Amino acid sequence: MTTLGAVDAALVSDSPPTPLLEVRGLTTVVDGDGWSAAAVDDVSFSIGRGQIIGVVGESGSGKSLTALSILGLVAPPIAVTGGSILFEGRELVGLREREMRRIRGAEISMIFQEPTTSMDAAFTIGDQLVETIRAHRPVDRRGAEALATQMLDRVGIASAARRLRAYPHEFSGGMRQRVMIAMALLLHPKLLLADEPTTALDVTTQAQILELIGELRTDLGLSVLLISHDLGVVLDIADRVVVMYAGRVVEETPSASVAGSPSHPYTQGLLASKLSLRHRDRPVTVIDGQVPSLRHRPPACRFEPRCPNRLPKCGESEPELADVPGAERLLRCYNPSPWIEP
Amino acid sequence: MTANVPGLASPLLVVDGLVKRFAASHDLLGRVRGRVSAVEDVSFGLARGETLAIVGESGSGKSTLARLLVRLTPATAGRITFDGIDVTAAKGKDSLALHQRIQIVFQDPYASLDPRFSVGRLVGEGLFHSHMDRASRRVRTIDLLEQVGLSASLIDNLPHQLSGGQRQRVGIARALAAEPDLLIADEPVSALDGSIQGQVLNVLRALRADRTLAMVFITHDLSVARYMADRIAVMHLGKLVETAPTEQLFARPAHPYTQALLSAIPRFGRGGGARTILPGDAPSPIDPPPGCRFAGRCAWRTDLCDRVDPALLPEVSPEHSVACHHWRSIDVDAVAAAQSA
Repeated sequence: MTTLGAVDAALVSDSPPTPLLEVRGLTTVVDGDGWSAAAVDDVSFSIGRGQIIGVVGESGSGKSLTALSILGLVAPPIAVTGGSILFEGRELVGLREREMRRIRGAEISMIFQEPTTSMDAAFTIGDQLVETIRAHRPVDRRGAEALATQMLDRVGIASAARRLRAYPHEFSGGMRQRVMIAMALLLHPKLLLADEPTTALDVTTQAQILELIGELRTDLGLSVLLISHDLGVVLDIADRVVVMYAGRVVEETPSASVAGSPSHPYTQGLLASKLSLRHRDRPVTVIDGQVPSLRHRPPACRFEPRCPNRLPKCGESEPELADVPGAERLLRCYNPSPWIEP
Repeated sequence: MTANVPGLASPLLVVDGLVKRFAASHDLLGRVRGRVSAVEDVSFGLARGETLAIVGESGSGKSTLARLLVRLTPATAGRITFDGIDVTAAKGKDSLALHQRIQIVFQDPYASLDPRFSVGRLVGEGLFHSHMDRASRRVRTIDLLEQVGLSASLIDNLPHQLSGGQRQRVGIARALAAEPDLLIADEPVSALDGSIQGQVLNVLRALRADRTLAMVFITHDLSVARYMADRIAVMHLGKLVETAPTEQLFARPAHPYTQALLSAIPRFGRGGGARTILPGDAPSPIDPPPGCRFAGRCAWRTDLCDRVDPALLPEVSPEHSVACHHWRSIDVDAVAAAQSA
């Protein structure tokens, strides 16, 4: 883990001026019965080649919809209504479904929290891997099986050739997630969107999968968008962290500075509530209240009702996501306070 | 075997050699073909007012243990004694008393509250034993809501009008209404968002503080266990592998599995030592091997581990038990240094 920082620095300095993925002002709207609301609201970030970007947020933050929007996987009543998603300079917003299908899997791939829902229980792992390869590449079954075996082996599945004949239910949760990663990487995509890939797993298995994702980045130069509700998971392997709250990006910063000195009161609250568990003699640090629902978002700063630092103007207008002078950091807050570790 | 309850003069709860096995599958004639050994020879004690955390991953049997303690499922073998009452055999008056004195809070606050009932009714049901009239029930219900940090104005709300954290606190208030001596909390915060978990933990912690309520706190999260518990028991594939007072467990984790669990706690980007990545998967609890159930993933495995299942013995200290043949030869200092980094 400690060597990743150095790798990252090298990648950043060498990376070409255009990032692999550039999301600008992405807005994804949910249409309800007589109401509509932006579940993803003017979200911007970019991912360089070989970078791992973490997106952290609680339920309702819009983090999963951000990933689905990138892949064009939203359907009515949800729609991307604004912004731009440039992948290697190519605009994905508004792309025809036929062209999008060529990008999905081959250029950008996605894995989900619960691998079972993305597999067909009635077919062997081998059938599913071979089908994926042959849908995109002109190889025969034997050739496809060889590629599939290679990839299963790469993600750490022992006796891969034999395991091709196994059905999804014959794998443990951690092994299924490995199969899922293998399936996502079969066509050698440049970008992997990983939506809560370890949430359904045990902690010891989670550690294995995070290790694997880190290795794949180093070995294959894979870029990863890692989405998680768990700040600890993201800080573990991401180079930069995007913190989302109620559809908005509230802070974006290198992982090391989130861990060292988170700036937004929300990020500070999340980290403090985890770290305060170390002090048995004191109450846990708590963020009062709850995440607002899509329909009842505060009018100005969305965190204002829960914020310990709020000022009168926080309830009147929303702060911009702005550069913090002298830091590699973007922050959306009128009144940040220094981080005090609990 | 007798329960290993060091330092407990008159324990509230004694669990002795508890076993729970399920049939894994049946053949054509309905005969049992394989057995899941969910809880295997588990023994521990709990003092009045003490909080014990049972820590384990999925399949460890921790939730089955919780269900055994509240008699939601019968034991295959072994004995649970609660304040002198044999829980596994209790009938009639004793059985009713146990229903009141042992309460449980479940993981999923969306599934455990009847969606048709108001908060007032849900909590008021817990007062079943009290024979109060309507008015005093309502007063007591409001007291309980306030005790768990909920506004009395929520009393007529239905569960769907509450957040996850509020629901979980309703579940706690309902359990407290029965004035139990023992509260079983089965993963009470793991279904909640990070910013909400603390609200529930603080309520449970306040209950602990007055030292009249004993708690068995079941969790997969060692950092939550550390915060909540006086003592921690680590469970792996149906068996307890290590038990110790909380700070001793963190200072000197003796079992390789405990060490791996500790190493998997996110360190929030502080770097530090290399983490222990366990190879492979936990073995299946169906017809487990005769030896140590952790051997397949253990770096210290020898022939002995495959042949002989190590017993849980107070070898590290009188309060600190471990079930491992080789705990003495493991370089704990290196492990501890990696943890604290």
